[in-house]
Amino acid sequence: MDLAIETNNLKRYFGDIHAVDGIDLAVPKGSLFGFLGPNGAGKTTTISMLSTVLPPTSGKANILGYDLKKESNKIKECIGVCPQDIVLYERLTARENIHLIAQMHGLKKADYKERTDDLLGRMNLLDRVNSLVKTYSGGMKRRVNVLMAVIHEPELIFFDEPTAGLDPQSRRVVWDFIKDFQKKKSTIILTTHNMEEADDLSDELIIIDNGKIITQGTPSNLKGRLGEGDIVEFKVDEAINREKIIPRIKDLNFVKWVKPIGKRRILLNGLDALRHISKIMDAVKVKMLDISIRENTLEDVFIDLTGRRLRD
Amino acid sequence: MTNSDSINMKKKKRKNKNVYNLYHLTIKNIKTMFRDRGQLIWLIGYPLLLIIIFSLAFGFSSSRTDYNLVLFNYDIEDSGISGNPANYSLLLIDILETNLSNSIDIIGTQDNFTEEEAIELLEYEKIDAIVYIPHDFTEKIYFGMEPEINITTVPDQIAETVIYSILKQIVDNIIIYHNGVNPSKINSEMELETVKITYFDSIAPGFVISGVLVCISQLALHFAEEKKNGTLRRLSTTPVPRSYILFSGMFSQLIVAFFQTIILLICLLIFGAYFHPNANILLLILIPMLFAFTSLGFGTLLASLVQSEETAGLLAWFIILPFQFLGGLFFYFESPIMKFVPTSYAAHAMRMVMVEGINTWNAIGQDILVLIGFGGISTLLGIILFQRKTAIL
Repeated sequence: MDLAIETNNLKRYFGDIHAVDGIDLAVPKGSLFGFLGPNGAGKTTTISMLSTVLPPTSGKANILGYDLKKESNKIKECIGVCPQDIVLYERLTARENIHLIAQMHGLKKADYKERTDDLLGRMNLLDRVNSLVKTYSGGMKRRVNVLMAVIHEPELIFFDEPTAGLDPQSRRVVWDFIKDFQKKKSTIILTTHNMEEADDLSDELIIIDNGKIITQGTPSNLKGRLGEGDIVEFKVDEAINREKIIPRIKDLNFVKWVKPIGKRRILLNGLDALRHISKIMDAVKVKMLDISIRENTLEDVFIDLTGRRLRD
Repeated sequence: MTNSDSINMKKKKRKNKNVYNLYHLTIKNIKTMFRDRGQLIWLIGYPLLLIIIFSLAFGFSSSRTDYNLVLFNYDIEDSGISGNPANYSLLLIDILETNLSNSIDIIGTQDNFTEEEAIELLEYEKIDAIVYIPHDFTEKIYFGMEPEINITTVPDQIAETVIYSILKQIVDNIIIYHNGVNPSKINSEMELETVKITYFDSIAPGFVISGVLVCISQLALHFAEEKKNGTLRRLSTTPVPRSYILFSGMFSQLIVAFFQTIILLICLLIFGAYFHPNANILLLILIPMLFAFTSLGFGTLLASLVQSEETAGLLAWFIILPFQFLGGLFFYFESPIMKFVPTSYAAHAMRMVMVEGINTWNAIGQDILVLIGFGGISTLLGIILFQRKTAIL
């Protein structure tokens, strides 16, 4: 299998903080590979290293056949980076911003001029193309931010939380856009703490926490590990009552796992769980304030592995 | 094709690509700079404000019309030249006392003061200059050699310039007279050359230098903004070398400095600053540009050290203010510390060209070399520090 990225025990420390603590990756060429994890998990630091911005403390990485430490200039010619923050020149137009990145990659005007307008059209930005970026809304700026990563049609594209802060409609436009790029045989690395985004887009993903990979697989495989059954989440009236009922729920043989969430919430996975839970609540006279039932998500996988929510 | 040919071709291709990148980055910088009205107002407004303040304060009131001096004439003894009817030092004094009595007042000679007493008068600024005419003054003129006159003045560039200029004109004309040229020409030329240079005139070249000096903060602010907004980091993911990003910042500032210089020179003309008829306009532009290069060297050092615009703005003034005042831009003084301040060289060269009309390499060559040296060393250090990618302030 051809690999776009291969890392071996990649680490990055900032003093005593182990931002990335020994990551081994094997990203196939042409895949859309997701990094899912909470804020501060080490996703952006990993991307910064792989995109040559930040030197690793130790470990090895090979990007598109080039050694990260020795051949960073060659790597830069083949990658595109969409940073987590909106990084634009506010006193340039959208078109000028995109052209600049194309020019830095040595593209000729004839090559990037039409392509820029085509991309701007796909992101519904053509009507404001000559306005300075400082007059754009946050959503428009984020769409320009994405386009700057792809104008030179790189082999490998890093999208670091590309839809953060976007409304659902704009988010869907960006997702479709990213999927289109994958069809052009680009390899895409997508970091997110949005489970829906990771689930919808990724061919394969890693879940990362405290600088370490805690699991890896396709979204369906990862969710499948939780087994069959519904995910039930409910809130009890008082924290002390939660401690009373958790042991009782754990004793039920159809319940696979139970996790306390926050102060008064309980999350559990079990077959036909809803009917049985209400009986227990009645028996111990604990009041249930709200309840929801749904299928497994990647967030449940994360909770199963860490005991925390992605946004905790 | 050999292997080394192929490597050379690749290197050449990369170099061409870097020049292409440099061009587009410079264009980008210029566009962002010229679209920032606040920055534009500051670039021209700051030196213009200085010009207005100083022209109002000193442009009219500080005009000097006469200078007091003590003259020691050691040429009065018999020169021993047979058949020489004239003692040229007496002729010089006669011209000073009769034709230039409005400008020069000889308040004493060796008959009234000792040299020590004259120096004391000078130290207490009771006189503006002591003039020494050596014993071989007449002899040198007679034999076609270059005569010398020594002048000691108070640290006032206007006094020095005016007294030097008057004496040089008289002696030159005596030499011409000795060679048989019509002596009537002497008087008219002397009257024309008695220029009333005000304090404002003497410091006017410093305003151009002061305007260009702002390059230091502009470059540091530019890169601090790029760091803060993440655009520098974004550019670091493209193939453009970091040093070229720095060069593009310097080039764009040089272009701005060029326009700034032209505008400030025009402003000085409008405000009535003195431009010597022999002043070379190209040098008046070239010297500020060389100084802009020097300033940008210091700007690169600062740009490589700071992270935020606030720090850049504040720290820049820790360089700009000492450079302005210790470089003698707004007032003239002499101190050994001036040797370490590049503004003093730029201001000196500008004054020589603009006020004194001296455009020769002998007069300003050393200034130019020192400016290039300061700029080269600071730029080199700035590039090395900038490559480190991490700021320390």
